[in-house]
Amino acid sequence: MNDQWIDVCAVGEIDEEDVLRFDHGPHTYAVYRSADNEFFATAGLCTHEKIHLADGLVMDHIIECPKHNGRFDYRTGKALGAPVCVNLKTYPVRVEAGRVLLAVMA
Amino acid sequence: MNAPLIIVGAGHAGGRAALTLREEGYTGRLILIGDEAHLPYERPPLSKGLLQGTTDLAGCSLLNSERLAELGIEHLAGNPVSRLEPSQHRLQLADGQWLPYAGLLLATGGRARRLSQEQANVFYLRTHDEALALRSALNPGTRLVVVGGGFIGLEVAATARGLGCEVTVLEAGPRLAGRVLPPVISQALLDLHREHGVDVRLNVALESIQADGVLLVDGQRLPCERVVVGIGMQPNMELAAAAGLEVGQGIRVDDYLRTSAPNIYAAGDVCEFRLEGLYQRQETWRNAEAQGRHAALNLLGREVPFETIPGFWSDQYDWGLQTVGVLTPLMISRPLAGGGMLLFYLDADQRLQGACGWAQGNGVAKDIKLCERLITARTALDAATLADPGQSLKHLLRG
Repeated sequence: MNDQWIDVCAVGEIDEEDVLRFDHGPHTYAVYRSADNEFFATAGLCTHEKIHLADGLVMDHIIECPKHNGRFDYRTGKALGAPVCVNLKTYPVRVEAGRVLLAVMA
Repeated sequence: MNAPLIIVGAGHAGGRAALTLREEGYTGRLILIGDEAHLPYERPPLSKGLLQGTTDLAGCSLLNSERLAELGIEHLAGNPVSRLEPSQHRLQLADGQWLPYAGLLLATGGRARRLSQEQANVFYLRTHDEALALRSALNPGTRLVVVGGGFIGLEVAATARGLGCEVTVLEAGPRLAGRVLPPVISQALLDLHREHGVDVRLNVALESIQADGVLLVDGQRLPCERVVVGIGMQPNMELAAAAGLEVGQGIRVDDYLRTSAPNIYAAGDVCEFRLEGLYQRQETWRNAEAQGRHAALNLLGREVPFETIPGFWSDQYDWGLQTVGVLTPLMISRPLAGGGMLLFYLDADQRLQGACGWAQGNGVAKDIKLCERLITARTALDAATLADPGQSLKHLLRG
């Protein structure tokens, strides 16, 4: 299995300490920019009730689901307690020439 | 052997309590008793995804039967509790069996308030099975009258429009969801439903429901095939009241969610607790989640006072509403892109007490979460800053 790098957006399109929804084919992802300008990506839907995480709040390294306050560490995908118990899948991200690239399984 | 912990009520609060007891290391016998045939599930999807057919019971369940077995939770369905004897620390099931308990949680929830008149074309919505029954009764072109312009009625109206029904909403009061929403949001809801072709009528009184229509007090007759009645919830507190527990508009608890009887706690929709000094119930997802969890901790002897910032949401069509905290007379309004708005409610010292947001999709979620943190921070806020959509609430929070 090879990773396939796909172009998400320009670096400036995600605010610091924020998240962007990115749809690719049938899949949806959440791409994060941390306060110290690192980029991360997770599956786009909360593992609790399939809600788009990109509408949630990013504070420090935590994304909070917009509906039920389920919280995840977006760097590792780890679920941080009820109501969420299933971790988020994470994806490699890199920045190249001012563009954010996301690796998905080809 | 020690007596078991027993949870009466296998809804969201009861289910969350059972899961929390296991997560927190309780390894003793744990019994969860419910009226419904199903394992605990969350109710918000009933009027939306489940009614629409885009989600199912598994999609709203707190756990499945494998997980239940793995956690060693005994789930009793179809054998409800008929009697409670607090002085003996025991309860009796409908089949006559007595169960002793070391600790008991009453999470008995409520039932839809019903009209005195029972009719085949009248539907209520509180449980999964009621939602499925309603779904099978709604088809494209079905004429539906919704009695009650509160959240259940409005969400059903929105979903029914999506299913192609012709919908009329009857509200007895002067505005929609008037008990809990500010007038400006009631108006936005009214506009939205009318834009979507719902015939919303305010200040109307129902005379009777007939097999093929609804009769209003003013003599008007609205022909329809189906009627949904969403006029509130009645707390299931009869068991507690008969056992001599203190009740008001629900089962009364102290700051630790303890009822007036030893080792008996209450949580969720049925629980009447003091918020800002006043006894009240919170019929919300958020409260079921928080109190279910909290009661479990205190059943384990943690003795933590229950402190909460209340909140709820509603989704109708592609718009979402969220509130947090309490609404005070001092309101500051901030317009949001796309016609939405964020309302801030301050106390006399300019500290945030509550917020209410209205926007497309989940567009207000971030701001409402920040408002919740601003409420906790208790710092004085500047009205002009709050009113300005260009000012980031995150910056405000971090000073």
